[in-house]
Amino acid sequence: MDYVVHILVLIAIYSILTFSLDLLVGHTGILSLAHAAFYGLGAYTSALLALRAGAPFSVCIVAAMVLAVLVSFAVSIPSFRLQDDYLVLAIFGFQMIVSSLFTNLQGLTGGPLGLAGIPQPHLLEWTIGSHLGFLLLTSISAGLTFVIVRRISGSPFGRVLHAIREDELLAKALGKNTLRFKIAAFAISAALAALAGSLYASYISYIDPTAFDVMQSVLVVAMVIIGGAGSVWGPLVGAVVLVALPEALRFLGLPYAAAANLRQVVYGTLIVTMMMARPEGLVGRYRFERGR
Amino acid sequence: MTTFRCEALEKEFDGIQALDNVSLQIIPETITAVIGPNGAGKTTLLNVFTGFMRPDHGRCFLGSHETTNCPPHRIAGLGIARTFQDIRLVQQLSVIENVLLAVPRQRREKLLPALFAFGGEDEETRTHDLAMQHLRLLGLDAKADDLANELSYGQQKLLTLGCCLATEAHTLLLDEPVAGIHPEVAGQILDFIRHLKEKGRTVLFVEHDIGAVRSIATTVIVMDQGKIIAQGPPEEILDRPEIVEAYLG
Amino acid sequence: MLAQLIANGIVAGAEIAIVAMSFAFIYSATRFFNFAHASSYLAGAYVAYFLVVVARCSLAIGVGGAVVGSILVGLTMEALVFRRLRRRGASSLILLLTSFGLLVAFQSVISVVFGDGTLVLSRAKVSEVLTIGGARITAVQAVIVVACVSIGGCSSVLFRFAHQGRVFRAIASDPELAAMRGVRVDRAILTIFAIGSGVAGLAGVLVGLDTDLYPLMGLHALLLAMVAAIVGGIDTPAAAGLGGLLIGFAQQFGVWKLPSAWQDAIAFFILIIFLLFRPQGFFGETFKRAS
Repeated sequence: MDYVVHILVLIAIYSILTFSLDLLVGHTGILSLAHAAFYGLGAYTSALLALRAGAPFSVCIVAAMVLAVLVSFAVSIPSFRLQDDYLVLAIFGFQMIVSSLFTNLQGLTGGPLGLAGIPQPHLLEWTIGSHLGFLLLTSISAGLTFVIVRRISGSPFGRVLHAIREDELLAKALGKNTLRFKIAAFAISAALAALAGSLYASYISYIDPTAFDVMQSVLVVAMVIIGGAGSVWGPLVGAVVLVALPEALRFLGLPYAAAANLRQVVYGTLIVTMMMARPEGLVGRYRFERGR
Repeated sequence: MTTFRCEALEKEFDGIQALDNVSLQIIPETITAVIGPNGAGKTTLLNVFTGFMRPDHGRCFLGSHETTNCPPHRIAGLGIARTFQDIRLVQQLSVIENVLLAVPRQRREKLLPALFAFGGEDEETRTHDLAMQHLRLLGLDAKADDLANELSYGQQKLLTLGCCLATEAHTLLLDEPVAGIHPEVAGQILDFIRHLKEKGRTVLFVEHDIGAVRSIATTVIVMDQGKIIAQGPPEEILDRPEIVEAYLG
Repeated sequence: MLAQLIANGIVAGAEIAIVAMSFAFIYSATRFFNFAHASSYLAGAYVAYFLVVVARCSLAIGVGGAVVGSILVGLTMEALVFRRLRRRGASSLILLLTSFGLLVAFQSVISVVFGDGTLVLSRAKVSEVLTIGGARITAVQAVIVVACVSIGGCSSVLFRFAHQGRVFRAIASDPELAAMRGVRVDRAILTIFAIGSGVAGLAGVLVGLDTDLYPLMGLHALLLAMVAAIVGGIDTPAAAGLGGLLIGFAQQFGVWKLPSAWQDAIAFFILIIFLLFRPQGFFGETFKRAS
């Protein structure tokens, strides 16, 4: 039973990641391979503030999200005028640099050994220690993320994002400062990824750089695409499929390392299959394939 | 009334002189037609006017404000709207959403109001009604909720005009508004352009269809190989033998 | 000391340059960032390992098998996956993402079969140390440098003079026009994939002989190669190769002053600077004008 709750918590945390990434990928048409970098920035910020400064959980979360937004500006403002492929590469380069920082700034991040003993969160009167407590906290956060993305996508702001996705030149001709819209979308998605990071850090109470590397970014992208980019429920579907499926592999009784690699084989194959057979994803309508 | 003009524009690319010392002034509340053979530089002219290309030399002005190096969205914000040679619409949005996209100064187009402003429904209803009005003028109101890519080619062209109208631009630059259009719908489009002028807008359009030019233009500008070779009222220009020659030759 | 540093720079640069050239070669015709290219590199290294260490074949068979294996991997991906997506009009982003999926799957299969740890391929013969001008390099490192120069020279000649090279350039600049002129684009792309993958596989086995094998070595080599291609100029393989030499030198000299763990961050920082300020690379435009 506890195991099931654990899986649900992971699904909730990954949903925050997928809904926030979908804002970029599905709604604005920007392929970001750096979502895990912001996830990690949130996790490390939150963990360090809790461990070194004894900061309360609410402060940790806010600080994590603010830092993520600031870092997102540092990336988006100079590079978002780049086109398509080159933009993807620049964002990718940013992910690699951040991963390198997590591993090499040993004094700050603990290097490859990571940070342990991250304290449980106290929110108002409650200490969240049990799996069920975390399920409540993460589900509420995931729900909040869902509402935020939905509200944005249904608003005039969201309409402009969709226009940018389809035809950025047209959006400019209609008077929209598309750079500003893209920067804003990137910032929101970064902040929410950092939120997920904070929750993850205090749930597992131990973090290390491998949880936030480029493979993790690709995994979240895979979840978004497989579920259906730009659709209402696609990100949730994607998170459920790609968290639950590999867990099922565990029941085949494989040694841990082989299971982890088999999981990756499944991810990779699923990405390729979806792209070839059903690019709009399991429940999506939008085919992420407009070449301008 | 703000007048759009350009001085001594030069633009070269791919080894071709697309614009060669082009200077002109668009008189407000007129309909100007720009004609010329393919490759004469007409679309390049529109691109430079609207900020999609930068000229190698020369300048553009809207009134006293220089627009030469302004980005496209800034120029659109100054009241200059355009259509494109290939129809550009957000195909995955509905007809009315395309028009709503064009309406300026919507509060909830900013991120924070989009998230937190509640009770903004009044403004959105007003915007919606305004968009429907525009669609009614074009005869597209029945199709408001259809996806843009479900319209016929002619209807899509009408829609692009509607979006231009919705931007509240005072000057509209249209790239081949009736090209490839069935005569009946073409007539609708030309009527619409005439109507725009009567409402105080200024129109400049690029066209190959001489009939269309004759029927609505107040001024004709002829371009060839990047230069303006003639300018004047249609009756005077279109009957000149050398123009006919340059066109058909 | 300086001589050794320079030698290290040349060797490191050559390793990156070979992969960069093969990458740029394929990119010029297909116009998307093909992460699955790392699979050819991996195939080269691990097929050689299997043949030499497991099946106890000779080194020559190992290297030959490596190249054949990597060519097969590249051709399969093109024929079964990329060609279909291209025919459907898939954007370069879709192709990029799909290539990532292919790489992840392939790399993980390697991990499952051979394990995650490092494997040793080198033999005594290839680790023989030569001393040239005060610097010490191993025999296989010398081979790497020679291979790099040969490949660079061949590709320059091929591109500029041979008929086939003109065909490749035509496809690179305008595939539709080339098709209309009667060029069998699909077949030419298969040839390009075969050559590019074979070269990558050769790089994989050579580097595997020089240092150890590990499943992530493909992605790692490819990332540096992509940076090199952007820095040198992705339009021609020769420019990408020069970029590889630059990155190799930068890393070796950087490591002299900074802890070696920062090597990759340096490379990616250089990448971003170039993407922002000089996306055509150092030699991009120069080469374009020449041809």
